[in-house]
Amino acid sequence: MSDKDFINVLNKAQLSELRRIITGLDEEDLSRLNNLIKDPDAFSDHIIEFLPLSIKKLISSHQVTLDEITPFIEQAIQASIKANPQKFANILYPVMVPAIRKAVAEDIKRMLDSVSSSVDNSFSVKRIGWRLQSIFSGKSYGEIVLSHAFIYRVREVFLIHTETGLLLLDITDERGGLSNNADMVSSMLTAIKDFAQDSLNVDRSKSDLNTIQMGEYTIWIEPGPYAIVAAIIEGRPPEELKVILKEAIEAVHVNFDHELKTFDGDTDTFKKSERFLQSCIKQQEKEQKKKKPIASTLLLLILLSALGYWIYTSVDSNIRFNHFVKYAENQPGIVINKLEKQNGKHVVYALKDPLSENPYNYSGQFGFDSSNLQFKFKSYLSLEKEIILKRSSILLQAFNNESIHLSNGIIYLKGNFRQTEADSMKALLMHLPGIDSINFDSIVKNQPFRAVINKSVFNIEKYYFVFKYNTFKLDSSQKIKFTKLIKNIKNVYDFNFKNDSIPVIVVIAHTSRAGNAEGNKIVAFNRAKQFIDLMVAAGIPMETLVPTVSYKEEEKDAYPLRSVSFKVKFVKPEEL
Amino acid sequence: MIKKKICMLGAFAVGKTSLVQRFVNSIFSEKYQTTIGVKIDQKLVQTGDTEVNLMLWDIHGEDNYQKVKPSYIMGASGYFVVVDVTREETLGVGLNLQKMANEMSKGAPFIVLINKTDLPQSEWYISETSINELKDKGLEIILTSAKEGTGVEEAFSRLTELMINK
Repeated sequence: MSDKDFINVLNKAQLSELRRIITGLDEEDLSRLNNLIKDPDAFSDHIIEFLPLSIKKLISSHQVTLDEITPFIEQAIQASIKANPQKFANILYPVMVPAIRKAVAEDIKRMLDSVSSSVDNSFSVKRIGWRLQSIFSGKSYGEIVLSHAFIYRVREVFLIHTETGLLLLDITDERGGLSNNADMVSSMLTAIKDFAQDSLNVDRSKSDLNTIQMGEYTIWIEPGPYAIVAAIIEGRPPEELKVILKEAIEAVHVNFDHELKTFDGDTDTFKKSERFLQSCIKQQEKEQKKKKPIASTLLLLILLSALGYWIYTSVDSNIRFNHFVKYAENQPGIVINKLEKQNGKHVVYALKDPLSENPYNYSGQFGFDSSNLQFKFKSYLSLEKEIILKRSSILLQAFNNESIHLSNGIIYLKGNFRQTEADSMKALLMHLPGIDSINFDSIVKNQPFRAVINKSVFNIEKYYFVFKYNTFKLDSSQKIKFTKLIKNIKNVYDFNFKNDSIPVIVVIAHTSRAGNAEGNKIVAFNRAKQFIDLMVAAGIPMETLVPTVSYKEEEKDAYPLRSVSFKVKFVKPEEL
Repeated sequence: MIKKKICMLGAFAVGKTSLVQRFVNSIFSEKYQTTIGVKIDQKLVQTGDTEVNLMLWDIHGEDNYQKVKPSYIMGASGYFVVVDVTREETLGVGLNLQKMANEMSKGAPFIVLINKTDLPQSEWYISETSINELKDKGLEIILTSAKEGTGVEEAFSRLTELMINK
């Protein structure tokens, strides 16, 4: 038999009975339940009385936590506000308006307190000191005032149950609490607060004792609905601390609302609120001037002295070096290209004319020598006036010029010059760079001929050369003398005698008186001839040189023995 | 830690402060110093396994010029009504205070202490009959002497017990 067949067999009464047996409900109950489920309005009305109880039980049994529900509630509130903000504003109005009013009043009070505090100190000596400190430190006056006015330290914070005055929690700073018995202090604070409120007959809900001043300590009390937070503060706290206390007591109430409402003396529960109270342990200390250790101060002084000395010597050395470089640059024949410092030594790269003065000669005046100064020279030919003159002077050493100077590329020579001399000098100087021409015309024309000749003749006849026994050799001084002799002879020979006479040099060899006289004459004659050979080698024509011997038995000869002297004679060309 | 607030109530000079001093510091002074406002003391007592920190609010005595402020009693977990056995009027004052205290403390347990029982019975003005009548009314009464220490420990222990078991 199928199910359908089975149902068809049962009559209505039997079916009702069967439903009752299975569900335990009669037909009327089932009908009511059926209607309830089908009608959402009726169903929601029905369960509405159970729902809050169910939620409460779920939370109490910790099956659902507030944290889990909160997002839904927040979303719901958010959606509701979005949909109808006015409705929510109307709901919150009775709560918000007093809260806003209170907050504004608190802010205004705090601002007035600050202003009062500033006015209190405006004309004090301390204030003047702060003004001066502000001027000298460069900080704003406001910063200085703050740094002095708001130095404080929260020493201890109490969380007190308002109704019983019992201490719920006590937090101290690292120095430990001020009170010997926090429990008694907290009860006494409550008693004082109650006494003040009762004695002044003020409305408890609107007025509260919130500050107690006791010497250098201030007790600030921040009330909440079920508990208060009281902070014992050393120094002068800023008004901002009140906000911190307020936030702390609010946080305690948010997190321990139930525990505070049902408090029966068990304070262990409130140990968890420590973190909120800990946020009230604030401090702002004056900056302490650190003692500077003597050793480090001394070391610092030594270092500073050493640094000072190093800077001084460096600066001094640099100044002296700059002066030296400037001086060297002004010297003729020196061109400084580059300056370097290598291993503490000044290195100077320069071009140097060989005729210029060596810079080491004057570097000592500036405190430099080869230990702290090094030159790296490259040779060059300087065209500076001084160097050209120096170079010219060297070339003209063999000539009897009185002075020499240079102007605009022209060399001016003063002295008694003959034409042949002038030509030689010109030939020498004209190859030198920096010299365009040589001027000695005026000098030559002004010289009397005879005077020049006479001087040279006088010079020639003044010379004599002494030789040792049986030798014929000129020493170094005799060689110089010989050069000058030749120069004078040439002076005479170069002179234009207009063919009326020709100069002849008689080379006179003075004999020794020791030994054989005839033998000595021969030796002397040979010495004269040897000397003539030297003169011919120096460019004197052979035909103008005449050897002769001077033998004197008495010691009346003006010339020493074994010497050679000279005599100038002028002869007709045909007599030569 | 369990903490409880206990108030000492009664007319002036009935020995409230002396009882507290005897209980807390085990001392007694013949010198009378009136209490102005309230004085706080504390004592740690052991009841069974529970350690209780009793905060004792020694409230000034009530007379015609100085009424006890209800706010002092607010939040009390228990209180004593102290009566001077040699001054009959102190019983009336004490019972009036008890009515106020009952209201403020939301029915907290209390004990009536008949103090100064060390004085000769000839000076007692509260008769045994009156005490029995009070007991019959359900009031818990303990005879005490702050001077000799009689009944003091017992009174505080008993009140603590009542508070804990409430």
